[in-house]
Amino acid sequence: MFMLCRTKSYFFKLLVCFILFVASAPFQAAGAERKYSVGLDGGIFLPTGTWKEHPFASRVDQFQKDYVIRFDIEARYWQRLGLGIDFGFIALDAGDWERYAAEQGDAITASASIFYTGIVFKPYLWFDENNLLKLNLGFNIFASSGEEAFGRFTYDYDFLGTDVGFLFGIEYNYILNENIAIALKPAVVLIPTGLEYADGDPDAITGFPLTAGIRFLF
Amino acid sequence: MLAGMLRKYPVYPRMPGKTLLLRASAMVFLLMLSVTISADENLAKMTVVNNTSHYLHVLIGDESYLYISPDRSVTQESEGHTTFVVKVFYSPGQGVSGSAERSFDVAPYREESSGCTHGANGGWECTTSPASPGLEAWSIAPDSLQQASP
Repeated sequence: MFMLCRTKSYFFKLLVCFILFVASAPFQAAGAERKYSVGLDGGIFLPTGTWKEHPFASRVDQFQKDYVIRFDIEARYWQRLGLGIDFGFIALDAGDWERYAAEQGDAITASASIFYTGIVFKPYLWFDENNLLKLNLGFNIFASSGEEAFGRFTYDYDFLGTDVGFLFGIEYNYILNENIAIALKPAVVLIPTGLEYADGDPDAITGFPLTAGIRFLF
Repeated sequence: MLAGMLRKYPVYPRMPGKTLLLRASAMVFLLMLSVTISADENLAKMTVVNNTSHYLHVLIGDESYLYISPDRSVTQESEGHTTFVVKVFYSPGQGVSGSAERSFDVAPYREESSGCTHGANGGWECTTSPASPGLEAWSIAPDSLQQASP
C-alpha cells in the first residue's frame, strides 16, 4: 500500500493514502505489537520568558503557572516512529495581576488560557518489555485568549491570538500490562509570535508543560 | 519560409496559448488592483491618540486595544460610512482612574469630484461633491477623562 501511495501524484489522492496509511497501522508488519495508543495527561504549566510579565507593573507576572490537560492519539507505523494528533488546554493564572490591581484600587477579574491542536511525530529512542522512551515533536496551532472585567467594562485580551507554534518534549512510558501504561511527559512550548500588543513588537510565548498520565494501548 | 520556421521551431504554435494565459493573468491582476483601490476609497478610519502620561485601554466597537503607551495611537478601519463608538479609560493598576466615551460618525475616504448636467431650464447645472478625509482622530488628554472609576 505504501508503494501505491507513492505512485499517486495528486494531492487529494495523497490525502486519501495518508488516511488509509493511518488506518492500516494495525495490519503492517512493523515489528511492534501495539499499534494504537491514546494518552490522557494532566499536570502543571510553568510559563517562562518576558511574555508573562505585565507590560508596566514591574515585579508582577500577568500570567502564572496553572494546570494543563493533554490528550493524544498515536499510531505506531514503524518500530521506531509513531505519528499522532495532539490536543491540549493550558490554563494561565492571573491571580498575581488581580491582587496587584486591587492594591492600586482597581477591582478586576481576569482569566486566560491556551488551547492547541496539531500533529506530533514520536521517534522512539529506546524501549524494552516494560519501558518506552520517545521524543514528542509537535507542530501545533495555538489559540490563546483572555478576558478581563474592570468596572462596567469587559474586554478581550487583544494581545493574545491564534498562532503556529511547537511543542517538543520527551515521553516516558512504563508499561503496566498489555493495555495500560503510565506516562511522564515533560515538554517545552514555543509560540514565536504568540503575544503582541497593539503598539508593540511581538513576543514569544514559552513555557514548560510537565504532565503525567495514563496511556491505553490497542 | 514562415511555415518552414514554424516546423523548425515547434514551440511557436503553443505561443497563442501562453499569450492568452498572460492576458488572462494581466486582466485578473488589474481586476484585483481595481478592487483594492475601490476598497481603499471606501474605508473609514478612527484613530485614538494617547496624549496622557499613563497607559490607556481603548475599546472601539467590539475591538479592544489594551495598554496603549503614552504618545502612541491605535487606528481601526471600517468599510463605508461608520459610527465608531469609542470607550477610553486608564489601564487598571496605575493608581489613577478616569474614563470617557464618544461616538464618531465617519464618512469613507472620497476625493473631491465635480460634474455638470443639462438642467431643466436648458442650461448646465454643475455640482461639486466635497472631499472626505475618511479619518477621524481623538486625542486623549488627561482632562478628557472623567476622574471616576470605570
